[in-house]
Amino acid sequence: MVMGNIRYNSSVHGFFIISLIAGLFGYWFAQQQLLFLSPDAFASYPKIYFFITILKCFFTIFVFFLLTYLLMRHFSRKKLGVLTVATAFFPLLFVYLHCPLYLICMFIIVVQLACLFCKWRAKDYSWLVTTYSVDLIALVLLLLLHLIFTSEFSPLHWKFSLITTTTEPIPILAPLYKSYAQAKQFAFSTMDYAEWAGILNPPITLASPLLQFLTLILDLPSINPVTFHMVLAAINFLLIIVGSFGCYLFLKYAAKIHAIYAFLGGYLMFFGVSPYLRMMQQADGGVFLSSYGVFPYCLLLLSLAFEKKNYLLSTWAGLALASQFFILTPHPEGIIYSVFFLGIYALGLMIFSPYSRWYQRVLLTAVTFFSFFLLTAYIVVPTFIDQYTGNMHTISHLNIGVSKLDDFKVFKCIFLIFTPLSLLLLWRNRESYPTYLSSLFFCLFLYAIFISTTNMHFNHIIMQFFHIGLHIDFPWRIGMYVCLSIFIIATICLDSLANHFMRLIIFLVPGK
Amino acid sequence: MKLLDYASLKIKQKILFNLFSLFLIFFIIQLFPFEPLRSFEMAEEGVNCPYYFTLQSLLARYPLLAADKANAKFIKQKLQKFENKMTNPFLPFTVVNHYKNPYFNNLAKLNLRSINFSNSDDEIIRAASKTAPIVDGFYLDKNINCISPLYNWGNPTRRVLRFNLNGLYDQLPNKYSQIMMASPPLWITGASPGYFILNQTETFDTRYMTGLPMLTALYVLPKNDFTNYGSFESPATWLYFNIDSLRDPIIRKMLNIGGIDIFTILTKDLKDKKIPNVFMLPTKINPLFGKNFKSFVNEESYGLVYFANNITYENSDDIESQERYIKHYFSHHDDVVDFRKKINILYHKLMQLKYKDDVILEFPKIFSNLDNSTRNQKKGEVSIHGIIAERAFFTTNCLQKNCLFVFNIGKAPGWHAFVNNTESNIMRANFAFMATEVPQGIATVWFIYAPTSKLISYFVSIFTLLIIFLMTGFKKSEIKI
Repeated sequence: MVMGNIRYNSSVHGFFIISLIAGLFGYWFAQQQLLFLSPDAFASYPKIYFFITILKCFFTIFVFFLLTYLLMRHFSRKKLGVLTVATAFFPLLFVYLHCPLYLICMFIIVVQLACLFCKWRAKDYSWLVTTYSVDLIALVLLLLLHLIFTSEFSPLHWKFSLITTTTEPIPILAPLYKSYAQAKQFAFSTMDYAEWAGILNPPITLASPLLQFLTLILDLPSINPVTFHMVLAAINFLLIIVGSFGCYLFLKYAAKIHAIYAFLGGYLMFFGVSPYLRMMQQADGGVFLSSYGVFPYCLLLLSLAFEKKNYLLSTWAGLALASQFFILTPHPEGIIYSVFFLGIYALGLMIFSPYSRWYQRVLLTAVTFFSFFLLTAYIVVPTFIDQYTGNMHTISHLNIGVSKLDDFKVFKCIFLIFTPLSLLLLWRNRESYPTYLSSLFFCLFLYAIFISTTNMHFNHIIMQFFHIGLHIDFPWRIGMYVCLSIFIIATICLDSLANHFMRLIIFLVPGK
Repeated sequence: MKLLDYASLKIKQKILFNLFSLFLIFFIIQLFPFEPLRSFEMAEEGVNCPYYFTLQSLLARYPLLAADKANAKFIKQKLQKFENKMTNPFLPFTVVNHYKNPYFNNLAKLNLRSINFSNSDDEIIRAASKTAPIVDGFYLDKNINCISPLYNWGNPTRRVLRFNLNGLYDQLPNKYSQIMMASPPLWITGASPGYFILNQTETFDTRYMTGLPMLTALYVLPKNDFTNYGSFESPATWLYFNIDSLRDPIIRKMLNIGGIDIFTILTKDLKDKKIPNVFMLPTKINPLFGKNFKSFVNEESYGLVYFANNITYENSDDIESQERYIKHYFSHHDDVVDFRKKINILYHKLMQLKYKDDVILEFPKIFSNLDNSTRNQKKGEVSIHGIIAERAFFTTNCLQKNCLFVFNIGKAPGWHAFVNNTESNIMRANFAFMATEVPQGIATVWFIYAPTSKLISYFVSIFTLLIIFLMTGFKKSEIKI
């Protein structure tokens, strides 16, 4: 009881300390924002907006704090409390001593790592090794493979970052560039008066809070367009690594296949030699990368939520889907595809999950999409309101084109070979067969959509009824998800094949 | 013994499994044809044609450049690099004459011997401003071949040039100038004549066709062939338009009211299209790009901010009904003939404005007691302190009893105006732009874009995130994968 009280008190103290730090940092931030506008701005700026800026900053710091706390709590095996993590954020107040932000961040990280090392004992190290060594090796290998062979955005090309991202049209990148410049003026916004007649919440404009955050923290020269392209390439590269690793985690922990095959699946997710995946990197230059990169995490968390009947994991699946907005807001088409395709996968899980009641399955899916909606409300709601009230007009692409399917031949073969095989081999791991069946359902559904949307007549029917055509002038935008689903099925099958081969060997061993 | 046998069998099984897996993976990788990455080829192209960002464009970009130490450091590095080149004792005579001597002479005027001895950020920026044309001239002359393919879409140098477009101008009239770039009809990016209005099934991208309905209808598409193509990498707005439309008096008037300060036109288009001499205004274009472009300062432009001159009143209800109609037209693709008829009524009213800075204002009549004798007198001065993201800060000096301050940005719900710390009403000026009343004497004016929906949805998102983290962090049992 006494221990409980001490913990409770330290948590309260911890929250008080972090609130104080966040509030003071918020005040400094709001002040800097006005100083950049004009040295005289502070006196006449409406107080209510000044307070709102402080509040926004306060909550952002709080989110960072909680995220750090979650990580520290997990890796210290609940030995680190709120108070310790909150105190580690104390260097944020060094901004009043004109300390650069990158140094402050470094201080915070060093303090937190020091706390972690102090708490770790021998058995914690062995826990770390047994729990994470394989995953860490997979992550390092993925990093190396993408660094050397596969990624357009590899750090090896950063020296020529301006040239490697040439394929991205300037009108798409330009708002992002403006927000890069604005970050150094303490304005985390994409809005720009230079749009003149333009709308204020454009649904198509790229936005990247992560890019702005990195720019401010690393104190990058905001006037240098080369540095901007480098940061963008770094974010895209990060998305590739994170995406590949996410696919690996999905295959290993949700589909429960062997790590080697999971690794293969993870690498294939961004394998540069696949025509659609290459086009995604080269032709669209990263605009679709964020929705694609976070997609495996949505699959993983939703599968686990269904497996464990855990609503919190469902909200995390929604958070994973929403995280594309925090990293790099993709092209609206990318958002629509990722949400729609996750819906298909969730439908598969709802049909094939035997362990829960029907309303639980519906609720698990609903929680995911509801949390996604709430988390993205800050971008989606103003856009919808503008559109609904007629204060914004947008005209979507009106034409329909038929894509060439030649590039897809190799995937057709993989699909045709592995799909029947996967059906035969499902019994191997009964625990994860809802994931298998949902993946298969997902794969078949996507394949059907892909084929049908490349049909001219089908699209004309859609146009007749909805006045909106599906944009399939660029088939890789759907094609990459089709590739992913086929790779998932293929790796699951390979794992099963290998297992059967092993059983056969053991069966044939003399004396057994 | 049995246990050992079992263990060795398990190990053998594991080894076999891994070997088989590796073989399968190798086999699958062989199925894919490996193609070399294109970026290496592009990198080679980049090496052959090095890019250069003009100092001038960098300096023009941000009014408060010196306040950011990282930027000042970057500028200093650029100047140091140039100085290092100039210290070569075997420089050709022309380089010494054209670049080295003028550069150091200009530094001497600032009491500086070399940029290396300068430590203050302000000093670096002043030195850069003074020597920018010389440094830029040196690099651009050296790489002139890399600059030529301006309109070659996809060429790396084109991208660099787009970021360099401010280098076109020796000096912009002000940092917030709005620039329009004319091009032949085929080159109009995003929209071509009639596509949008006639609802043809042709492709254009949404980002070119999103906007505020009233402003788009009147100022962006006055004759069906404009596009609001805000190119954000420059400090000024770039709007691409059909060069033919320059002859049209309605379009010219609309551009003036909309505050387009500069027209930039390709020289060859000028020859072909025989633009009337009335447009041949003094040009300040950078001679390095002068071969390709002519730039005209539009002296009739209302500018980004101004005090209204003569005010004509228009019933708010009438404007709102027109706006409702336009919104309906954009969302439902109504009949274009009806649309044009309605729009022409508004054009007619705007064409009645005789003098520069004349304004059509919606009711209520706040200036009803305006003395007719002061109508064409100077109203006062407006200065822009800064416009960053959602915040625009101005000071005004109104010489009359009260003045109408116009901010030439489209009026949209969510804007708030504050005059001397008090919230002020925002009215529609010239049917689409924002205006507010300011009192006599010096006043501070803020325009802040903060719609309630955006604020509420922001807090909804961040609270959801906090709740998810709190629930995960403070639940009793940990989720195990």
